[in-house]
Amino acid sequence: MVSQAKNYLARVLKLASGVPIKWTLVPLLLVAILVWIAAITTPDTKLHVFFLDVGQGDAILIRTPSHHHILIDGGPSPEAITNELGERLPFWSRSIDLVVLTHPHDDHITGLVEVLRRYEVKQVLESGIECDSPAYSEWLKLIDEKGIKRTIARAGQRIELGAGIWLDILHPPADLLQGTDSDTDNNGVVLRLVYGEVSFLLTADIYHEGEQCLLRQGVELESAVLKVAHHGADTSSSLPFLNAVSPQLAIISVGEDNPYHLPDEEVCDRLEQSLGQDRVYLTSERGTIELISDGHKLWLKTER
Amino acid sequence: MTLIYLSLSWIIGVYVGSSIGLAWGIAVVALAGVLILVLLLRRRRALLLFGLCLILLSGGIARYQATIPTWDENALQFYNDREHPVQIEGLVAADPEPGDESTALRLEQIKIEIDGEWREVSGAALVYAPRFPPFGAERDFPYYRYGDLLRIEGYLETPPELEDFDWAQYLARQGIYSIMHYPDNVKLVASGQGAKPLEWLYGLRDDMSQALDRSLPEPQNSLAQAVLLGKRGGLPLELKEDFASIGTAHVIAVSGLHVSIVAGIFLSLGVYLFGRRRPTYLLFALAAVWLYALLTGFRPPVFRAAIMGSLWLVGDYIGRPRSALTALLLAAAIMVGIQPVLLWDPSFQLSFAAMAGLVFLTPKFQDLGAKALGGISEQTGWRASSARFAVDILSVTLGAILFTLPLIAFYFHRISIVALPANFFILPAVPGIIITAALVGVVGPVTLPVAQVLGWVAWLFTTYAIKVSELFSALPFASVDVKVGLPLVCTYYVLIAIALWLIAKRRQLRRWFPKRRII
Repeated sequence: MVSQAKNYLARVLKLASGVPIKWTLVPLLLVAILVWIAAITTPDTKLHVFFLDVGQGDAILIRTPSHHHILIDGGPSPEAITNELGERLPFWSRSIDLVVLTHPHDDHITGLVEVLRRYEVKQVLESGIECDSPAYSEWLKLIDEKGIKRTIARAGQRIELGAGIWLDILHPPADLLQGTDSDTDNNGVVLRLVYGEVSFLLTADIYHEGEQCLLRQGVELESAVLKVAHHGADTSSSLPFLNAVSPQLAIISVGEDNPYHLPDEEVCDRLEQSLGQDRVYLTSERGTIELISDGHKLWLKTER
Repeated sequence: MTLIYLSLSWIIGVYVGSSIGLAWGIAVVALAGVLILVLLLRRRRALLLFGLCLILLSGGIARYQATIPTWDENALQFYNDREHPVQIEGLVAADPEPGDESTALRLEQIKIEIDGEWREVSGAALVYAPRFPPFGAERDFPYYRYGDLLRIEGYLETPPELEDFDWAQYLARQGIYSIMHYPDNVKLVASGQGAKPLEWLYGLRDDMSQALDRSLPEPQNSLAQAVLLGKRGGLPLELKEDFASIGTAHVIAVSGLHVSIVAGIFLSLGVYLFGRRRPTYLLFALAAVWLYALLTGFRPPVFRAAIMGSLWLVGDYIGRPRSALTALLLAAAIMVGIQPVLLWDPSFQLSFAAMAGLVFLTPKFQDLGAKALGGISEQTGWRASSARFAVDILSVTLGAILFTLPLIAFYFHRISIVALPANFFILPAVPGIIITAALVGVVGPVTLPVAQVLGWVAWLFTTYAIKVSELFSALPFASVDVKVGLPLVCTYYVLIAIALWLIAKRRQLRRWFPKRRII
């Protein structure tokens, strides 16, 4: 037995030594280059929040210090979201830890369906509001086919992201809002990302009714960064709500020359009055907006 | 030589057929026939050749005349631009091309509903169908399949002429005179109505495409799919413009370049595996070339290149490697015979010119390069082989650039200044992209994790090509705008022809003008 194994090993070694050096040179070189690129491009250990430039829609990517990736909505374009992810995720990674669908409208879900198809998504979180659209049925089908864990978001839940970072789910309430101007929008998933002294309020597409509901609950809303609700439409961002959040920075996720003429001028004026000039950033003007934090400070980087 | 004359006659016939009617054509050919009969009565062989040429010439004229589309109620385009939507039923006759907002389908064997009755009409339609159709729940991405019989309702439109691109002409070359945007009531009547081998092949293509989708990030994935499968739907516009502005657009449009790379790779592999003694290696390379052509969805440029490549491979085997010009013209004649309008297609003319450049100019540059290198080219070792490699790439690029330059200036009003260095750096990555992307596509459907690891290598080659294109296109002088008329283009080619003739007759010229007298 042992002699046989020895014999076999000797033969393998003989074969291996017969391989010319130039045959091993190219594969080894490729591996070396890949290892170097991986080492050089490894991200830092700060919190990164990207408000992705995906046209008229929402898509927010979070990278935690422990390199977990969370994607909140996917925008209207499969091409835009996959290109943005290709640029932000490390080249070897094909997985996303959590995908959040705030509400199933096309400008939030279309890109996410493509992400579910291409990436290995470990868990999804959504409001659970059904929608009679082909994109939403495709979303449910892919979750079922791939056996992805699906959680229904309700106010009061908290997702721990490690390193003292968490996501609080502030909305929708256990008893969903009914009879509002848009129940689908008003029951969207509202999240507050907290890291030390810095927090982000991500308000999906909720209207005044949703904002009032949040104010009534008396939950902590105050945040350094506000993702302005509903792409800056006049359906949202009432003054009492803005006062309660009292952000230092406001981000509006909109497409250039969109047919809805968003963001609304009045909303922009209101934001600039409460935050001050140069504190409102539009993805249509700045491209992808990146916010970086170590838990105390906040840095801002824009594409344009 | 005979084949060259015959192919040329056919091509000229098609060209002439576009400007004169069939009756006139026959009259002219008959007159020429009588004239030649009188002149060449004594020389049998020449008479036979010219006779055949004339027959092919008139055949070409007739062939063109037969393709002029009809415009009556039996043609689909008759129902274009109506006030009311129409209902049509048709077969998805090519691989669906999913885009960002909609999926492009080519419908054939179309029936149209008129006053409650279904009428069969001629012509194909290009339909931009919704990305998620109502029957999507039963299907996986891309939801539509080759061989589906669809019933749709919408407005048939005549393709518009775009600002700097004759889209209507481009579609006409594919037999499409009607388009439909976002039809309503998309119903799946039946499936599996197409040809079985094509169904299998498009299935394979789709498996490879999805494996790549899952293994590579964007835009590397789109580049790999454009190069390997001819799928250009996902390429970001900026990237396309970058490649075009530095004169490397041929890299992302599957073309003769890719076919010759595939032929080269599999020819060496075949020789290594089976030896040169039996024709097995040749059949192996031929099979690889045609499989690749099929995988790219049988796009016209690839089909063309596959014909040319096969003729070249066979010519090489039967010991006539110098008959490249014959192969080129014969392939052109066959292609034009299948689709006469191709003759006016810039892409056809460009790839023809590029191949002509490779045939006529590249060997001259290779000779020059060998002279410049001196003794090194004879040696073995990595230094000599990389020097030869560099000379080969430069010669190939220069040959193709010099022959395509006036056509590019004429059609696109823009020529690239950095084309030579850009191609020099990007071209070596193309075989790497083809090989690694093919590996990912083949391994992916079996075991995805292994494909994803292979995808890292494919990522390396594609990222390299993308970075180089970004680097060169960022240069302020990457490309310049030019305005060139037809006379200048013709003058350019005549000058090149004279130069080539002078080089060929160098020895005779030396005899006529001995050196000392010139000095």
